[in-house]
Amino acid sequence: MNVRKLGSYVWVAPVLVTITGLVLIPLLWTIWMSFQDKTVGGQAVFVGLHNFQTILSSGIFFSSFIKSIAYTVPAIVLKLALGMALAIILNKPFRGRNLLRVWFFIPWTIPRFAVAIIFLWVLSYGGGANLFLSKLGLTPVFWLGPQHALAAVTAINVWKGYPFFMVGILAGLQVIPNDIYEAAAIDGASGIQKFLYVTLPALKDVILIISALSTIWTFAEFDIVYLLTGGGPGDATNILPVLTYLTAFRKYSMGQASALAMLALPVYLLLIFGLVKLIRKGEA
Amino acid sequence: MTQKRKWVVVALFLALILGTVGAFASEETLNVWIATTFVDAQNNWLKAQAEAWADSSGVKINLSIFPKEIYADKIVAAIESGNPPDVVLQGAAGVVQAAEQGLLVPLTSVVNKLGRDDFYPAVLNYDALSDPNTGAKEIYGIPLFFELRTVDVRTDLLAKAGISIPEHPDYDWLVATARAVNDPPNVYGLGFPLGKCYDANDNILTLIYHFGGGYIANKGPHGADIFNTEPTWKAFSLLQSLYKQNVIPPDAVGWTDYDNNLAFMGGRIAFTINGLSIYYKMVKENNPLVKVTKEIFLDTVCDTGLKSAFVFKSTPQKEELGKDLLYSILSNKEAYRVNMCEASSLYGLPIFKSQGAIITQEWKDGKWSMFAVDPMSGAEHAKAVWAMAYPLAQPTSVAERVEGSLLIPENTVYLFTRNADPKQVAADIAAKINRMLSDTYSQ
Repeated sequence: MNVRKLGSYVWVAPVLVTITGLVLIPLLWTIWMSFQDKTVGGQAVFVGLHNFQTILSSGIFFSSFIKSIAYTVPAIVLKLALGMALAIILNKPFRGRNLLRVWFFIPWTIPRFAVAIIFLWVLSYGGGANLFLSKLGLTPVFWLGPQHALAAVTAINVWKGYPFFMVGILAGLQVIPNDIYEAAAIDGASGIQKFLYVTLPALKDVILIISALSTIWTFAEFDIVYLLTGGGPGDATNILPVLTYLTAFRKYSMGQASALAMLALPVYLLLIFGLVKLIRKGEA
Repeated sequence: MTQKRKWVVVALFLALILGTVGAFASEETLNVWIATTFVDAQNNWLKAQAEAWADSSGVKINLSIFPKEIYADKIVAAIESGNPPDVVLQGAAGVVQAAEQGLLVPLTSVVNKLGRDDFYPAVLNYDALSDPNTGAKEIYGIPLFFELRTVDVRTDLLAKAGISIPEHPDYDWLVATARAVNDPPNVYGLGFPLGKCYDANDNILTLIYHFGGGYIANKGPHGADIFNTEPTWKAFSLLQSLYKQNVIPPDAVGWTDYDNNLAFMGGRIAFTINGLSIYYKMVKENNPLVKVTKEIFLDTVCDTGLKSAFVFKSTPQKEELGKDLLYSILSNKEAYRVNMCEASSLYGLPIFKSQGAIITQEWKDGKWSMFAVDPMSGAEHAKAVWAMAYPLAQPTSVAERVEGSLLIPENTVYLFTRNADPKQVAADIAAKINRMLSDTYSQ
């Protein structure tokens, strides 16, 4: 091994050590723990597939998994639609455009716990939203009640997350050469046709990458949902990260919590695999 | 570098190493955690006491103060990482779990030194377990105050309905009066939290106890069968009918621990059952309803979860220091009463009978006029809710987990949102608790 090659390993070493310490070891530990019966402070006892059997037979995993999907999919679609619409508007030159770009980016900059507290005040029964409705003479809504809680936390996720899409798409729009739009116009393309046949294909990679990233983050979302509803009422917002947290830190069952994490792992791996493939395709 | 210089450098290096090792070896640092309550006076007094003890004893302490909301996570992470604190003050979660795993130091000697007979019985039972090794009954945590559940009553609404508070109000009176003053949507009779929150858990259990029920009778695999019996069904049916009749606000199914406070302070409900935090907050915020609010105890009084002090096993020297710190904090009972209890407007009631007697006398002298009954009367026959399951009358980590994970309100919400059968809901909950008992104690 020559000195240059050895030197490159030295440069990579800190990253390798960090990834090993923060990702690989915890992952291996979680895999090992999912086969153990382990309460807080107690000894781990190997129980084979018992944790998986308990979780899958109780139905709680599937119920929680479906809620996670019902939370993630609409959130991504709405964030994409809103982010795309705003990016297209804010890409056009007009007075005050920069100010509006900053204004619409604000939700992304607010800390997540602050978002939860703000919306707790807005959406509680006596909160701002119902105050507004009652001023209009409308009936108050139980925003965080069993029927609307999942939709409410989804809406908050959309509000917090659309700027990421907006900025990503805006950056994508700015690199599309104007000549293509001019050529399309000469060919008689309408506004919608330009969007469908010029803008969208040009943005395809950007959209896929930010959607994949946002899907990973949204599927793993915990703090806002937990702070707002604690997974309730009942199990109305008991998405997988909340269920895993409650199992580990409230039911003190590290084994079952690890098994829950392992059951969710294929979804994350699939998303990460897709993301890496997209990035590689982009590089090629 | 000359030979002489080399020796000087080596000597300095060795001195540095030995000095560092020596410093670590000789200096005992006691890691003390304080889980805060919402009463600053309590937190500040405990902090000052710990610091004063450190100054007088010459022991270095490392004080960490956590909001109660994150304490439960911190303690689990600390235990699991093998790095628990030496002493915890005002900790609610994890005491029993840690004691059952043999991680805590018995504090029976501290209790005896403070005068065992001076403690209210519920305090002594709360964190008392059999030693995992010797089998001897030991006290592993000393609750720092009672946080009894009182009923906040709007006396102006009672007066309007021509109702007065009886000498010994019970649940039947409460329900009848709540129905009588019910005037939705202006004022709902009973602010009973039904969401996934600790208040719902505590209030539901208290109602079950009122009907003569319980939720864990023994630590066997059928210990929770008692939960699936007539008293629980009656309690669930009553709540279901009160909800259907709009006596309980419809949004109560989504309430968190703070929503019933807000509803009472905002004048939306005539009664609610809570710790004294509502009254404390109303006084602090100069809420106009303070003048027409009274606090009463029902026939069944429960505690929302005693905030305990406990010491983790470490070195014999540190364990003794931890015990000495606890003794130091509680030995001046007068200062304890004034700073932990009276400063909190009795949100925290004293654990010592001697100090309780003073509170009673003060109440008789008109000092605590918000209480329609003697504030200490509840402490005499308190049934602790948190880890000390009734009628088991001893703590169990299963109860700690059932209540920490909000298993009961998570399931009872279906009584209201899906009109579920009370018997079925009770059976489901009992089965889940039985499974936990079996997993925990049958191995």
